[in-house]
Amino acid sequence: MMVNLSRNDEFQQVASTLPGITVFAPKPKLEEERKAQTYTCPQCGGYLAYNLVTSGLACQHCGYQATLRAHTIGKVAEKQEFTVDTMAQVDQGWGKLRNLIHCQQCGAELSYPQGAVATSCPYCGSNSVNVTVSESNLFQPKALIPFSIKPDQLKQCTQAWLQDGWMHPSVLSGSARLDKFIPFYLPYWAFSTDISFDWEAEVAHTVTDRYYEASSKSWKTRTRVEWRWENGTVQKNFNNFLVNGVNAKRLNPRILDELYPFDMSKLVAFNADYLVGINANAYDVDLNAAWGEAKTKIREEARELAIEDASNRQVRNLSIDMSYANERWRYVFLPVYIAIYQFQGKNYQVMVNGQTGKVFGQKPIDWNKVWLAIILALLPGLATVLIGLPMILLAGSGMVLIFLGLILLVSGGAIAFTIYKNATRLEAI
Amino acid sequence: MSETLSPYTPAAEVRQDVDWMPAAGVEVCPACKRVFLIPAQKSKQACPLCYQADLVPQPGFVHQEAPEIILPAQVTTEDLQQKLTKLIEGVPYCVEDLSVKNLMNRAQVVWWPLWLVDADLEGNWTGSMGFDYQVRTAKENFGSQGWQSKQALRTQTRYEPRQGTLKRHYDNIQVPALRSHEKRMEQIGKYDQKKSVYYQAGMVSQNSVQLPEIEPQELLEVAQTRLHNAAEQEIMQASTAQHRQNVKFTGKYLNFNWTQYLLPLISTSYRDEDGGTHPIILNGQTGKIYGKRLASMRKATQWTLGLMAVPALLLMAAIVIFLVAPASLPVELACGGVILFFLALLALLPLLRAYTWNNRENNSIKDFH
Repeated sequence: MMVNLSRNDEFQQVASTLPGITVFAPKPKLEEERKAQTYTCPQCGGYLAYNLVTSGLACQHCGYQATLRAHTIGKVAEKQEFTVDTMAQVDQGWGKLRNLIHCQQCGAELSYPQGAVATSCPYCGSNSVNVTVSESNLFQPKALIPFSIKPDQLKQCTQAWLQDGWMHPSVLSGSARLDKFIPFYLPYWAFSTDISFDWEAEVAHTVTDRYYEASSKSWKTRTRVEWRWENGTVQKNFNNFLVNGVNAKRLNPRILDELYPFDMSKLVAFNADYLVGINANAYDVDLNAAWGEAKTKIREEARELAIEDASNRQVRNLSIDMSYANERWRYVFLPVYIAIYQFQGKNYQVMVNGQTGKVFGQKPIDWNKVWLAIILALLPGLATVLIGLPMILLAGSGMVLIFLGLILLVSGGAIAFTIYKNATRLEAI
Repeated sequence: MSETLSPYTPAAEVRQDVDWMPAAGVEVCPACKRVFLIPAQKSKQACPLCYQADLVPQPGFVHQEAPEIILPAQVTTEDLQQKLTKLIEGVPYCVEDLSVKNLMNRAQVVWWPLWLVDADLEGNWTGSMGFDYQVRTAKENFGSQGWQSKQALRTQTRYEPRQGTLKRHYDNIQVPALRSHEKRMEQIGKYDQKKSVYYQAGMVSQNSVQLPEIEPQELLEVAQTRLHNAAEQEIMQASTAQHRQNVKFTGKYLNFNWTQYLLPLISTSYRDEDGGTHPIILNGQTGKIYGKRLASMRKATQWTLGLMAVPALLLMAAIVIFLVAPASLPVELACGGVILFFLALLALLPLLRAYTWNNRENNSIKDFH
């Protein structure tokens, strides 16, 4: 009657605490040991690299091509929990990944304490390096989004972006050489969680009263704010809340933030072949720090949700009691093209979302244009006032012009301020 | 699922002695149909559980094997007296016969049975085992100080598939021997079975023993379910899991052995003023009581009549005054009438209280098992 379970390929015997009972558990899915692989062309012996055009491996010498089977896992991509064990490991520091990269060609130890898991050696150009080596599998990305934007599409995307906006030099799109885009897999932490919170606040209600004014002996109305206590419960699900894992000193976080969104349903299972010849960065921001950053944003959103839940946005003495559930995280690689271009001797960084083609980056500001626009905004008001003043002095009339001029001046001032603010914001990127 | 029932000795018809309880006979209650082994000195007495009829000796089916385990009665005479005193306390216009003294005098130990089944299980199992683990989470508060975060731990359960083989012997798995087992447990509460001892000859010879109502043949399915539950528990333990789901066993149930387990119950009774007998039973270990406590309607009526006498006398006096001097004191007479009316209403209270009390007792204690 008893079946021989030891022959079952999917289960293996584990310890049992009682005699007479055997226990078989599913065999753990062994993480393929990510050893160094030399991507050699079977035809000419040259180096293979991931080809962004064909989305496969290709030999740069003889043109040999090998297709890559993408296993799309999308939303079912493995998520990890904040277990006590995992977090204890995080606290102890898992970040040895970056210290163990070894070039198989020249033997160089690529020690990148701040992060790059380059798959091509910067010394000899070889693509035969350990793709990822770490003490714990948890540190290795389990999924990535492959590049969908081909290099030949980049020029079109960036040209349109360069031409966009009037504050930039007119010659920018013609003279900026944006032809060296480097494909990069950047590390991202994707968090999912459910939050639920109770809030309580005093909410402003506008009340209109009628009252009798004794001095004028008449009934009048007045409007006053009445603060009433309100409370509520809000639940919200956050899915794939992205926090980039790159040190802000290395890549401009403001540009990275503008590259969202990524379509996480297109995640594929991690395969080192995707990285051959493409740079990849290990994270600089560890899980705890990234989760802290995500929580900061979640808190702000919770506060906003509480205010939205109130009957009026004008609230005071707001208090929130919030808890998290089903907290999960994923460590994924997302595709980004990075380019540096020079304009008038100065470097500017541009990035392109490798999945959607969304472009964002630094662009020089033509302050002559900006000041001209500011002057033009202020000019109608100033002119009208200047015409009105002599008319008052000479003819005793012109108050209307002065009044109109002041209105135009205030409006122009507001426009000028907005222009100046936008210009400084764009320059600060 | 195998349905192997290993040989066991079926109940045999006895007319006289049972090996493990000499000088006792099988007697049946004509009212509740319960069957007892009754010591000779208690023969033909009132049924020790329902008290509605005298027991009648008649041939019955009794297992000749002595019970395997017994749970000794632990309620002492002092405990019993205390419990009964507390029971009667607060009963309004208590029935004459419902006294601690009477209940103590009539108290007797009655043993009631459970089946114990031993069996071997041999086969394969599959199921989901739940393992507890802790995750770090946070509780966040927003107030005048801004956001305050407090780290916390939350326990979650992860279910994983497991399978394996099982070859274990299970001893003394309990299976009800009475149809009213569950109801009786509800009435007198659970027993602490850790205090059970192996049965020794003479342990129950002075008391009535209720005999099983359900024979092992009928209980095979129940026994297998209970054995399965015991196996599930052990599988979970063997897997070092804390929870289990959908555990299935495919194999044989072998070498069944059925024995009896006797539990103690103390029963007593009282008569109401109409001659009806009302049983009261107690858990022989914990002393938890079950039984109705009736108020005497006769006493309550006497009180009502006594209280009615006062307004009646006053009414008569008022009538006399009115007849002697019809025109005098009309206002005082009207007030007196109102007072008399309320006094008459108050006099009904004893009767009303006894009626509602008995109604509540009858509603709360309907079935007696």
